[in-house]
Amino acid sequence: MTGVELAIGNGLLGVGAGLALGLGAIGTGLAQQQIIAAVFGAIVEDPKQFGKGLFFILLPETLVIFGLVIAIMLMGRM
Amino acid sequence: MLKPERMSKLFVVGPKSTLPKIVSRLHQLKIAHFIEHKKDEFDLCAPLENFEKLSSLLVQVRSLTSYFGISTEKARITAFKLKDLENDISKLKEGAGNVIEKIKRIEDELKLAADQHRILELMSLLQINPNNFQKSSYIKSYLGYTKDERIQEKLEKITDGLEIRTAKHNKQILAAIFVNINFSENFAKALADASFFDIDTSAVKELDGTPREILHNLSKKQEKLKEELKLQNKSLKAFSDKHSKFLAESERFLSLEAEKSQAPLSFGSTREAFFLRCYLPKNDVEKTMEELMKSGNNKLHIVEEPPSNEEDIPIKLNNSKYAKNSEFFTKLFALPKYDEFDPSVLIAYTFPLFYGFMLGDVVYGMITFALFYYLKKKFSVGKDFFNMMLAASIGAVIFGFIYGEFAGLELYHLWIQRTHDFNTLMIISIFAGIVHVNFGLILGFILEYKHHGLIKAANAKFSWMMLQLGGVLFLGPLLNMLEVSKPLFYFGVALFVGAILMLLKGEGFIAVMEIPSILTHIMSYARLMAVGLASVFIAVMVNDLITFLFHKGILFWPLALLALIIGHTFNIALGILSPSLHSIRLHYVEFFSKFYQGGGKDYEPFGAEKQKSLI
Repeated sequence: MTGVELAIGNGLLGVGAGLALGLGAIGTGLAQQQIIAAVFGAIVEDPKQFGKGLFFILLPETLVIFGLVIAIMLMGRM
Repeated sequence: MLKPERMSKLFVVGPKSTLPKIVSRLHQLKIAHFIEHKKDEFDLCAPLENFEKLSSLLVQVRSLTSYFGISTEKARITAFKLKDLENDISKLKEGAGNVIEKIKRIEDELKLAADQHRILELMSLLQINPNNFQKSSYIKSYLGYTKDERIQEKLEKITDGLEIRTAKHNKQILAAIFVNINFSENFAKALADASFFDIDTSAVKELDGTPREILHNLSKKQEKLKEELKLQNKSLKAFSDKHSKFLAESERFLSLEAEKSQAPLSFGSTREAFFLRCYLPKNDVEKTMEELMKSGNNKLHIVEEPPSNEEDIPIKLNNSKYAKNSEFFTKLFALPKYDEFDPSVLIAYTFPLFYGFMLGDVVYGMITFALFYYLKKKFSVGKDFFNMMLAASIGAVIFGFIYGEFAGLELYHLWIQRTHDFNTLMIISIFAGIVHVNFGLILGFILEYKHHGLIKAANAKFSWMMLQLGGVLFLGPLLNMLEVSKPLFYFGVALFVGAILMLLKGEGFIAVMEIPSILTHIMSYARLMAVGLASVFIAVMVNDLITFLFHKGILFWPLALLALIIGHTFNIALGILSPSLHSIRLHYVEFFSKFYQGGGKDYEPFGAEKQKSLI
């Protein structure tokens, strides 16, 4: 591979890493937006639901973390 | 330790004459969780004799404490004689009643005066005396506002026989209208069309003189009333200060006594006898039976009944002093069922471990320690939560030393440098995940084995472990991530397929759909690395900014200081929120789903005070 190809390859890896993290974050945000609204409704009705609510709010955070894992794996190949 | 306290059930029968003593003894013991008797061929027991008197006194005392705003929570529990208490309370009520009545009268008068004041001001604008508004059989009078500027014109169209005065006030037209009563119906309609807002003049129409004169006297009267109100309030305050201790103590006493006197409502009764059922910790059965026998003059019949598994047995968690703190997290999720594991003791050690791994900074850890120590001293509720956070802060300090991190600066290099060794951190995190998840699976296996036998347990839980090993040996080589020998590869395939078949049998088709979840659950522990990295990099960025500003020259030093304070405060706030939430989430989602359902009923022994919690 020539230097230019390598540089382009590296650049694309960087873009991929960014996309993985960014899209993961957007997905998490979209999911949490609705969950949080619903959970707050539930907590107002019954404060005991706080723990379970927290559980549901945090569920989609896995997405952004997977994004980060993929990003780090891609960065490792640069 | 891993199980809720073992409970037993008592069935107590005795003559009604012993009831007050038994109730009072049980109240002292704070141990019996009553099972409500449902009315069947046996009636419900009646409350104790003094119940009505107690509740009426309690209502009186509570009306006083709530009026004076006296807090009764911290009052000492004192014994009173009911007769004395009755006298004292009625005296107090009378004394307070007099003052309260006076205050009320003054307040009413002040309100009337304020009303009069407002109306008279308007009348003085129009230069009309209030007695013009007295009720008459010939003339109808109105005072009010309208926005219609042509009101006079419109009214004069109906009749000439009217007197109207207008003035501008508050951007509206203030009008006083007097008209022959024969036209009042037409007038009412016309005024409604002009959206005329009528003012009630009944408060002033008996007053004689011009508005100016009356206002002058009224102001004097108002001032006098205010003085008097102040005086009465002062005497009320003195009264409440003087009696607040007594009121608080008697409230405590009465509410305890009332609680006792209505306890028999959960019992069953015959004509001469009562009977009750209650749960209590197995260890206390013998002692309790002895005590009750003593209080009941040996006239009782007490039987211990082992509770059956179908019953909804109340849950008393049973943990060591340190692990008690993490019961907070267990309860936040749900109390365990009677035959489930109580995960508190596990959380007590893994929560600080995960938190420490994520925050991992000596300075941050010390700051959060100080903060939670302060909060613990400051607030009476939530001690258990703050204790957990203190343990977590210690974890952060220890990991901080391991990473060599001090507020984001790496002062020395021991094994891991968090800003560079992503892969090592990730491997450690995933490894922690494998251990934690499989530990959960083992607990689940034990539970299944106890309830449904070995085969069901193997199908439902052991299969997940086979799936993991099989997955690694089978998928690893396929994805070029691992090299294994041929036989090992085929062993992996066999394990993988076998596990899927077992899952189908053990947990049904749904479980097969869930197969990827075991991978996501383990990968999810990568957050141990991810959350930590976020924290480190924010700290590093803040530090870079500070160094940059510092080198710019002395003029920029205040800015550098600002960046230091704001940046690190922000990061510490995140460093408390994020690692604790993620640490507890790993327990709730990834760990609990392997063995824990929860849904137990809280153990509420008769006589024990309800504990306050953060939520």
